Amino acid sequence: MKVGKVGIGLDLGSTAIKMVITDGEKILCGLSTATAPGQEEIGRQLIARGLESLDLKPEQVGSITTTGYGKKLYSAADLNMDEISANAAGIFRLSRGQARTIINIGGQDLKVITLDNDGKVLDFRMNDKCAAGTGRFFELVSRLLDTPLSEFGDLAGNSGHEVQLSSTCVVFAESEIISLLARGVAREDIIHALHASVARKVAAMMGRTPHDDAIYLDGGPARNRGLVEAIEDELLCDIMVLDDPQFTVAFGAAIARQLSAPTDKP
Amino acid sequence: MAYMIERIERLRAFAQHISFVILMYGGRFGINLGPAVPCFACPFVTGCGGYCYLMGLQGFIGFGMSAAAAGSLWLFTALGWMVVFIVLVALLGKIWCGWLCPFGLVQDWLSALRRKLGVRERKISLQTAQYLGYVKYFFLGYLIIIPPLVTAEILPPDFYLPFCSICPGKSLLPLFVGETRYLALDYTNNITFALSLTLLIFTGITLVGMFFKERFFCIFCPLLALIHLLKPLSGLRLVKNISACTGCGNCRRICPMDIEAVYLEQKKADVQTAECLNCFQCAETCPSDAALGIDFYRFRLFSSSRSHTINTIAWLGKQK
Amino acid sequence: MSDQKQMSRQIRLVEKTAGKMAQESAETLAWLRARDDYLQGFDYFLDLAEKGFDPQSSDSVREKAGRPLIYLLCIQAPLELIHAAGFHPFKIFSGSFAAGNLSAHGLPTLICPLMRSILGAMQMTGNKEEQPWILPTTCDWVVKFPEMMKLFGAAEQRLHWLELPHIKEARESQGLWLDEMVKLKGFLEQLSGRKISRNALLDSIAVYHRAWQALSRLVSLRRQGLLSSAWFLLITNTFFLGKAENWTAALEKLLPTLPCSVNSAKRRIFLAGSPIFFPNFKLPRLLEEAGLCVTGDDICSGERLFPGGVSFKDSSVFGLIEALAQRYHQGCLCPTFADNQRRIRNIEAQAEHFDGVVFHVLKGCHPYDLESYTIESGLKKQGIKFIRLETDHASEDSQNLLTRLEAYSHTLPSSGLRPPSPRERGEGNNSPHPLAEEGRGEGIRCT
Repeated sequence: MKVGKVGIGLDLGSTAIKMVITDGEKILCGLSTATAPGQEEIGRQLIARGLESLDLKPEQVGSITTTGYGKKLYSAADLNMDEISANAAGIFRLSRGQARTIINIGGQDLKVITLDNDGKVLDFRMNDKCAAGTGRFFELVSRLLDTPLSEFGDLAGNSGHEVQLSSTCVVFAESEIISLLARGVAREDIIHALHASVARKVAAMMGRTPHDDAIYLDGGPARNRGLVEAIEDELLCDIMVLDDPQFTVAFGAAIARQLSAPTDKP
Repeated sequence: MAYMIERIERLRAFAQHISFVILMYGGRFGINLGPAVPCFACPFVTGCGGYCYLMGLQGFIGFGMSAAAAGSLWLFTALGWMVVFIVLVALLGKIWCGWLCPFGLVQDWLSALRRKLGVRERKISLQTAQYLGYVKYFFLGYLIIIPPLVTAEILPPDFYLPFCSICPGKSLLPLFVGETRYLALDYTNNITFALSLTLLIFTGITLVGMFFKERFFCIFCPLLALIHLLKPLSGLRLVKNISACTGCGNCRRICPMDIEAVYLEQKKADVQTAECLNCFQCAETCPSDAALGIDFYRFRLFSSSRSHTINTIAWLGKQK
Repeated sequence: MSDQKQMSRQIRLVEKTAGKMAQESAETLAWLRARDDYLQGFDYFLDLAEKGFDPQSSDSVREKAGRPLIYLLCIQAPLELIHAAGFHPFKIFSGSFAAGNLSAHGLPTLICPLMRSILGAMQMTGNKEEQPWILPTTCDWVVKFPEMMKLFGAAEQRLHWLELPHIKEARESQGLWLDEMVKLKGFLEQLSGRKISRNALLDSIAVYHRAWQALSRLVSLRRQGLLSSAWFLLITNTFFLGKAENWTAALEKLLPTLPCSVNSAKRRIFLAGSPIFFPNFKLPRLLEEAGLCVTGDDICSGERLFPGGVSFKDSSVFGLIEALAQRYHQGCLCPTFADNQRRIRNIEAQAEHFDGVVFHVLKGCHPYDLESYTIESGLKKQGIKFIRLETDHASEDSQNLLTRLEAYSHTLPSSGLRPPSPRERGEGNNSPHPLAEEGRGEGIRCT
């Protein structure tokens, strides 16, 4: 492949490890796998697979930047950066400077980030130690309903009846969903209610943050069309989702070296 | 000295004592600042170094109104001294009260004595203080209205210098040159008797008041009222930066006049009230950086700071 | 379960907790001792923390203070008055997670972690002795504290309440508080069996004034970014664990030895909110990891340790008590008071010394929690950067907090610790992204 040096971003998240190879402008290759013990080895394998698929040699790797909870676990990294900054940088570049507000739904986190006109983080909010409304919540529901997450979007569209999930708490929602199922409520309606409940959580976190500008949603659950619509409904404005929203943070990390002053690997 | 503050407060004590010597004894070594001194430099003290303008003012209003004065050199001189008075007030404002007034120093001495004896200060309740605050304007009105009435022969000439004849400064300050005669009743006629009796009563009240309450007489002083009325001319101000104030209350506690406004003010920067004597003890004991300042026109003379307060705050442990 | 079984179970539980508490304390102390900026002068305070944090701490404190103790909660009871009566004011605190767990059962889930921890730590001693306590009616947790204490089997305590008026500016409040102080004097005199003399009061004021002077010097060094918040908090946390005079002497000895070099890469922050107590130094630790340097705080275990700077002119006993009453009441920025405008202003007034504000909320600490919102909106109107962190004594959220702090440090305008270079002041800065700036590499760290 005819590229010079490439940047690699490795996002070691709580539920998935994402790897992005970039030329600085777009995602050349994005790979992800579930988080498991031995992150360093998983990361190394992901990078090797990515380079192989692009037909690149290890010498062509300009830098490796890690981010996410496990960012310090990968010892071969040149840099590590926090996921909020990486997220902001990634979305801002991919949206060609359009993004001003980012909603990120991660495995355990829910973040709302506001950017200024230069892509600098102005402010952000992040959930405390509580997994309400995060990816974990979706996984739980997926398990309860015995439905793969990828079908959630379509199923929600078929919902006819309005039901409410009163809780976004993972623990309480479980019992609530079980009782809904027992009452014979359709899967579609429950999923619809689930999306609405997460959307409410997002709106609560947005709080009084002004959100007239372009709002971008990313993180794994952003691929769920039903969720995006639910959030649009709740916030009463349009939500943009980029291709491969699960890789934006890793992409942000991958271009970090470009952004920062060149430093030698220690 | 029981109560010790570095710098400003020392400077003030120094100025007060120098001023006391000059204004009380200046005449004995050839210093006289004239009849327009804006503080209690009592003319009844033999050999004093200047005369309290209240006397000049009463004379000016009284004699100046008469037909005989019209167009005379005397009137021009009197007007000239009035200008001098106004200039002196414009320059130093209430520095005259807090830093230079001999009667103020006498009150401070009595307060120092009280502190030495460990007797607590008696505060006047807020409401009472509010009413008492009007008394000084009453006195000012009294000393302005009576003299023309004397000139017009509506009142007998015994009312000439109506305020001086009841001013405790007249009875107490001459004591410092050994003159006790103003502490006696004047039996010349009913009016002099009444006035001298009033003076004795006022003197008694003032003496007791001065011991138990700091700067007791200043509450009633018509000269303070007069200087305050000329405030727009004066450039000296106590200024508060409301955002820097933590509301600790040091300023109010330390204030000899128990002024609340400096502590309570939440809107405007100018906290120089009618009662303020510009002693600046509040600014000196304020532990917040730049919360209180002393401005002379646009020049900042002093800003409060924690570091200043640390070194200057009153604490008796060492002095015991 | 029989009583005997219950007893032995309780004893085992206490023993286990004691071990865990000792471990927490040892870990924090070891971390402090191993730091690069460790100085010999810190030993006095480390030693105080080590001994004072022992479950049997009151014995150690009593021994060190050389006086009978009076237990305190909060910072509204005038230390000078207690000292003048011949007692040592001992403000009770604990930041131990293990101790908190010991008392977790039988308490509401959402309770102030400090109270939970204190209640746990107090079980360690059995708390069977009658102790004099002075409790101001600050927050609900403090007001309910004695009842909770009894719930955990504490003996009848000698409580002296101070009814704290919550509207500081009102004249009636100030009058009420002055009466409370006169009553407190009576209580102390009854305890000691002798009158508080004017000289004793003046001596005590001098003792605490000297401590305040030393603390103020430390604070001014801190404003310049010369002192880590970990050391600062260790020093302030240990204030009540020994004789005030000795603490002052140790601090005065330490002051000249402190280094005067600044780490210019760090951003300066103002730490506001709930108090931080030994051995839970999680937050100072994370702040440092995120490249933040605390140059000021308004927490009651930090700079607001005691009000200090008691100025007075009327040196009669009444005048001194009045001065103390006003200083401890009106100067206090505790969020339990109505109207927090002065808190916001206090932060604004110091804005030149920091780049942003970190607001610490102990989960369950309602007054601070509520104020965090009003302060946030107040400060944001002034363009001051603000982040609110809600946490407790547990360590499981460290990673989450660190992520936020790292990202927060990137949003801060610039570090005032660094002298501005001409390049920085305008031209030559054509980097497209703020992260690209040199000297800002704290978030993107080379590993």
